[in-house]
Amino acid sequence: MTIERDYDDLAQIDRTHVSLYKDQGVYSDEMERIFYRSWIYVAHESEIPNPGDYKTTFMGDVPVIVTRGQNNEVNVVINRCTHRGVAVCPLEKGNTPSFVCQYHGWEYGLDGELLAVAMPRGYNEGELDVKNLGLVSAKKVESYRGIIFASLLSVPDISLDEKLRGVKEYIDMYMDFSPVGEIIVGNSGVNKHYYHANWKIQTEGSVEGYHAPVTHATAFDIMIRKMGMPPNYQGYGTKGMDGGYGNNLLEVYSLPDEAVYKRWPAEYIDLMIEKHGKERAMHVLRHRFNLVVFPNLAILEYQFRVIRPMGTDKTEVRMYHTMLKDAPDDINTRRVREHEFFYSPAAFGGPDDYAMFDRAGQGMKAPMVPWILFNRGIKSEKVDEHGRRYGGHTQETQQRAPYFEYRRLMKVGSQS
Amino acid sequence: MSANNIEQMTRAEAEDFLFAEACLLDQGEVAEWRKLFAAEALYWLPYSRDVNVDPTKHVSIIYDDMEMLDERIKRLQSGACHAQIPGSRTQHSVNNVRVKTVGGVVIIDSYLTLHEYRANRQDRFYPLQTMAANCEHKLVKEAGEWKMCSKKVVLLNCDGEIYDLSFLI
Repeated sequence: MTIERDYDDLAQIDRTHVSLYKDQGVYSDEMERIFYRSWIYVAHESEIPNPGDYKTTFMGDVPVIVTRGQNNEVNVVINRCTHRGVAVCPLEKGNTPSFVCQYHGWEYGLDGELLAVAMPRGYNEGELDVKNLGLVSAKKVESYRGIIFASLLSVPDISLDEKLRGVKEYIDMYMDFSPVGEIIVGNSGVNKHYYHANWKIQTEGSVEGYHAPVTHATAFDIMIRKMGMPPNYQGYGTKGMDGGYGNNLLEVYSLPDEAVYKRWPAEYIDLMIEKHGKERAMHVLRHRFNLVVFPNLAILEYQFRVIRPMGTDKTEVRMYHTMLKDAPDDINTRRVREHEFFYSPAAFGGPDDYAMFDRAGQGMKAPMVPWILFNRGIKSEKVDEHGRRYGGHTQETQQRAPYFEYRRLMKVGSQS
Repeated sequence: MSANNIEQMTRAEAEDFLFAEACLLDQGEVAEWRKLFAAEALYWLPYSRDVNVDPTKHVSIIYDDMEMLDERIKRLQSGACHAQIPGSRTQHSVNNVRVKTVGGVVIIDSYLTLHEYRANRQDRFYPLQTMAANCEHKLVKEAGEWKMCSKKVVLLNCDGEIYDLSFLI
């Protein structure tokens, strides 16, 4: 018997029910309705620059391969031989002309097409339906500024353009920290973490302004003393914002120009002005933000963070460090040092976050205390000229934001 | 410096140094452990097994100069490093020690087996973490004492999924 859950009741405007973080049935619904049927982040194009390059990743529980085909097109195929269920690609990344399943020699092209099988004469005529036995392809693959999204089982009911409409200005800003508007993802290192709690805790936690002065008092102290973080950054136009379709943003600060010159060396600022023009360059350099592209990507100052659910109670998090193409070497080195300062498993910030996430996994074992509260600042929330809700950065607009899309996608019949 | 003035270290002396260092870490004598570093030194855990990895172009797990190491120690001892509540017990076992001298610097290569445990957690079942690593200690003499100008620890699983390393290694 299938129980249909009332997701309007479980994910309310100002609170979520703990069963969303614990219940296997909810998890299965999330896989089927969100991770297999809406826009999911899979890779950045800089990870697969050349024909034959591939990267394996996951869309929900499903292992997929993201490939660059011989005609430069990007393919997303399920890493599952259509013959007997074996993953055809055992590696995280590499370059290959084709994928050969090493169980029975079925060979697939970079776009998933079945090219050959071992000992084909053992099949009688009509037994091997070559045309329909390619690797299963994602129904839709598209990218914006090199960020590749795919939808596995159906074409999403909104275009990628529409999905990103409310946050494009921030994605553009992130890319434009490079003088040529391009970033390189993951070449400079990947932090690989896991914690013992539900995936949504990391989605909520990637834009958490409220916890920073509590959990990270020790780290912020050092960032202010040693890394050019303005001591009064909380007074610099910070906000939390709902960017629509579950996407959301924590604006850590928006600096006045004199603070930009304290944060960044003049050489880099001059190069940015030369390449982008003064107005654009200064607009970009004033900002620091954490952006969540619902459900599984967060873009932070130095990283693409990819959230992978592994059941209700375990989550893998990979932080792909980003380098700014054609930025001065010392700027990229500083991005390396500042990233590892906060985010490595031995760093000054990340381990404390994961301690909190593990403790959330522990506390949420109490079903008789069912509500997770997100009502901070709900009464003072405002709407900007683009129709986006926003509040103070330590309030919880950005934690409420994913659940608007969550409710939309999780309702029965909302997806074809 | 003439050739016969170059400081050398026997394997037994190198082992004594590493065993003493391990003992300080495992007994929580962090201030004494800190004194083993030279004035200018590096405490480095790379994310890569590649000996040619460039730490200016690649993120490390730890890449501390002595100023940052002091910040790290201060934070770990502040009571506000939440990942260290409760704190770790560690046991550093050192073996396969080899010593060489290159350009006036003594280089000790060793294998490290590290066990880590945190008691008194309400959720119980904290796994005994076991890690294997290759260590490279570079030693110089300062005021007649051997000091580390570099300690590099390369975990066997440095590029894999790591749970938590919020303790001194």
